[in-house]
Amino acid sequence: MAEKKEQAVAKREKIEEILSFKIGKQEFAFNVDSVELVIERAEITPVPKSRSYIEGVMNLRGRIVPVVDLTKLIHIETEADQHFENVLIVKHEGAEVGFFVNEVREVINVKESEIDTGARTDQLDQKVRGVVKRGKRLILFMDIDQIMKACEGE
Amino acid sequence: MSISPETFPQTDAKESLAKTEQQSLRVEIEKMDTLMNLMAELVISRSQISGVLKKLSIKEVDESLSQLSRITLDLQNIVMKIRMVPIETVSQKFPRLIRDFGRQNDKDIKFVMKGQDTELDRTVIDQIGVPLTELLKLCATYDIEPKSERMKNGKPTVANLFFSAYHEGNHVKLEIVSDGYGNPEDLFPAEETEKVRKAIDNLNGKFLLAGEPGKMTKITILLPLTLAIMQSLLVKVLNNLYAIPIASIDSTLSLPITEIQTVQSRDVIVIRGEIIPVVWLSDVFGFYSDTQKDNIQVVIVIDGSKKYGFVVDGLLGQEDVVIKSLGKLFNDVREFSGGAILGDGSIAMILEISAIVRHL
Repeated sequence: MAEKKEQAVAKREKIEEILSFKIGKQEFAFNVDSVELVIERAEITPVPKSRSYIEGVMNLRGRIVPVVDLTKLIHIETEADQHFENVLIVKHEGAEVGFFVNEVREVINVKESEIDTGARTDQLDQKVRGVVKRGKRLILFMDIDQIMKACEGE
Repeated sequence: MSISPETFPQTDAKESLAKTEQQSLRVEIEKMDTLMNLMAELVISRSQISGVLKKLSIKEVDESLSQLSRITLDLQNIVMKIRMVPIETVSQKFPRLIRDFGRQNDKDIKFVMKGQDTELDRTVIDQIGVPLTELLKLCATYDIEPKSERMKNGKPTVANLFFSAYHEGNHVKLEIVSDGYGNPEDLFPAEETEKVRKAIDNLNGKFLLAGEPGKMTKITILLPLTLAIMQSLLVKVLNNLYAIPIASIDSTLSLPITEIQTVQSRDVIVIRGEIIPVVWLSDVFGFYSDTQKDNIQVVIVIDGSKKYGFVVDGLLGQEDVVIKSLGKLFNDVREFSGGAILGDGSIAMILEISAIVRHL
């Protein structure tokens, strides 16, 4: 019976495309619409006196774009001595922000019901929309609105 | 032979008018933005190519490469300048406006403008004309007293009205000062205020009123520099580049570290009898270096009327830079007014002198 109900819901259900990426061992995802591009890490210029999660700024085709360490922003522990090779550029409401990532994995179609909102922890709470399970993989699906707000120190 | 236009019949005047019109071109701002960004990409690609070729030491391309560099630089400068327009383009009609107003309202107004060559982004220029005209009219109407009243109050019958424009940090500051009643709150009938405020809000600007009763009213408009070119001195602090606005630099010097004296536990240097506080930029930025040098490089900067000696690790020369806003993520950082993208694609933070010396 439960199965029937699920099928019925699935028909009407919205499907979201998410882009998954890895930072250390943790897999994250943003809605694919907010991702502008992924580039190789370029020279990052530090900005003294800025917030601790801001690594600096980079030159993206003549635009100055801040680069954020997501693990510091959301206080997730990662292996020490991280070296990031890629920067994922997010464009949200006209503002561009780069996030350090180790590896960009894939675009996944996710049904609303597949986003498990029960697993949100206190710390992440607002910034995570839920957890998406794919086999053994547990992907933290981030709320880009909240992430961008957090970047701006709100 | 010089020919005055009056000697020409009407048709010829029209023709010459058409000629001048042909010399300018209307271009969408968005296209200019794209052009700017492409320019920056071109500059970076050029640097990359020249870097590779230098490594391979291919002599044959040296000359063409340096020519390419020159052309790219010229092109970049032109693209940057195209967007900038002096405030003059809107303010040139102000003197006549004020003169006519004075005549009609029996007020004698001496109108003075300063800094009219200050350049602003085209988009800002297009939108600032109307509110500025409105503000000048308001001052002339509600702040400046009629002649008879000025006489009664022992003021000169000729009233003064100033309009000035200049760069200040990451803003262009526009000031309107009139020596009338000095009660700025009386200046604004609701409707006009709303109009002006909205226009300035749209430009992300700030609007400040100040007054000294009986003496003067001052209206200040701060407009952000979304895009502007600034002459700057590039300096090095540890391994990072910073740009100091030339406008705030007094001089640069190199002196033995032993010249630094301590007055009330503060480092100072004495230059031509003047005591100048020393600011270690590496300390301000929270960098820690244990290298001790025999000689220090100092950039003497001026903030208001005070001088400060900024200690840097190297002077790299003067460069015209495009100021770019750092964006919302850095709204808590006061030490920098923006960032500059240099010819080789690297970024230099632009120092906001007044914010750095404020904490001293």
